[in-house]
Amino acid sequence: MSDELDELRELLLGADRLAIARLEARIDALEQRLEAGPRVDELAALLPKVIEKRSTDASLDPGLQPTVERTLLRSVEDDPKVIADAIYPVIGPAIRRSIAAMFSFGPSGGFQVDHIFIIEGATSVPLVHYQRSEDLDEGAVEMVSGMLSAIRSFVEESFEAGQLDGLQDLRVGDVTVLVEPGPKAVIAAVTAGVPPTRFREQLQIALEEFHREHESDLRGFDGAVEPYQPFEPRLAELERRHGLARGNRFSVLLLFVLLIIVVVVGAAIIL
Amino acid sequence: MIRKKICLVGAPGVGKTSLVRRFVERRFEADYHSTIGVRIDRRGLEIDGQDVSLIIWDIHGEDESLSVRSSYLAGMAGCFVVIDASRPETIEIATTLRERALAVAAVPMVAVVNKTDLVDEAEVALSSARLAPLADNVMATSCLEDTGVDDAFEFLARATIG
Ligand SMILES: Nc1nc2c(ncn2[C@@H]2O[C@H](COP(=O)(O)OP(=O)(O)OP(=O)(O)O)[C@@H](O)[C@H]2O)c(=O)[nH]1
Ligand SMILES: [Mg+2]
Repeated sequence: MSDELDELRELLLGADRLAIARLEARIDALEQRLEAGPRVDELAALLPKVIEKRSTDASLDPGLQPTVERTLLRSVEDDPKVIADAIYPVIGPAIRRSIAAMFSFGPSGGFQVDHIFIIEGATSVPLVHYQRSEDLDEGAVEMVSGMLSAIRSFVEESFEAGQLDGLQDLRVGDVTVLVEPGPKAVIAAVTAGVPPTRFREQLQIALEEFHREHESDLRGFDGAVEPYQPFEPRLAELERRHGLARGNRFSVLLLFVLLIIVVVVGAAIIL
Repeated sequence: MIRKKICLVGAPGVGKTSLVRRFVERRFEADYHSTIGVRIDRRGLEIDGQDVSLIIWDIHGEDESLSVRSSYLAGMAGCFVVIDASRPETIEIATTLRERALAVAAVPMVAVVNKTDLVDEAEVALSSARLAPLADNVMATSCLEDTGVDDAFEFLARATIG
């Protein structure tokens, strides 16, 4: 996973416009270290030259990188729009390219359900999961559930309660993660193509049933997930009823890349 | 199987991501990449014959200008509060974060004195003593030398199933 994250960082940090931020952060750090003496002015005058001289090799990069990363976060905190505007032109096409590369689109109008998760609301622990083909192992299911929950938490914080209908969906290109919240658990379906309206309703109904059947398990939830496994066939049935397989397997890597991008960019924008 | 969410909090650069990397991937990276938002990782453990899956939320460092939002801590079953042994001043942020974590959930807390390879034993002992009143246990670790890391995660995992 860390490779994709590193790539994303490259995208975020590689841009020239950050050179200035690097410089400022470096000066700030130096200023603090020297506790503002006459040498600061001297140094400040020299610094641009030094950095310019060093910019042809990478020797300054390791030292500067953490500072630059945190400077980026701070800038986002001051005015998220500045960075958001700056990165979307870079990230948007990159996401679309990776989707095009990993996902050969089927005939339009098709709809495919690849995963359905039911996730415990408070802990973000996956309670039961169905997948059409064996893409994700247990560990990946746990991480994806966590990432979906992290995304939900900053979406929730950035919108008024009650304004959330449908806003929790994630949509990038042809891939939609449909998310329906319930009182104790959330249902999330990873789909491709245009979801029929009935499908969302069916997700809600399944989640209601789940709450009814597992009311007492959910009330005393301590992390044990065995009690919820009998619900999996119900999720499989949902998929069979609605999914018109399009012959293309959803790329697990793509799912991870998408979630990581949303978690990192979302967190950076909302933080 | 039991699934437990645990969190790591602390000042920037104390080694939260390195602890997870050591525990999950069994390796160390000398390069520092500050965490943006949260990283989620996991590892399975067997504790007293019980399969426990730790879902680990590695949260960005907190400082004066960037605080950890409580919503990241929601639903956790245990929490690491991490300091850097070579920067005792990181205890201050650890103290603030411990308060915030306890306000979200009264869960087991383990204080971690990381980077013990950079200081001598006396300094580790001093920091540990300062942290002792704040947590259920204080554990000393070095991600570089791979000491104490597994013990710390195992201790917290055990505490979460209590
Ligand atoms: N010598 C030594 N260095 C360490 C140790 N643990 C981490 N480091 C280094 O400390 C730096 C910061 O480590 P990270 O794990 O990224 O710190 P973090 O707490 O995740 O930082 P943020 O994500 O910014 O909050 C890196 O350069 C690590 O290689 C250790 O035990 N000993
Ligand atoms: Mg980190």
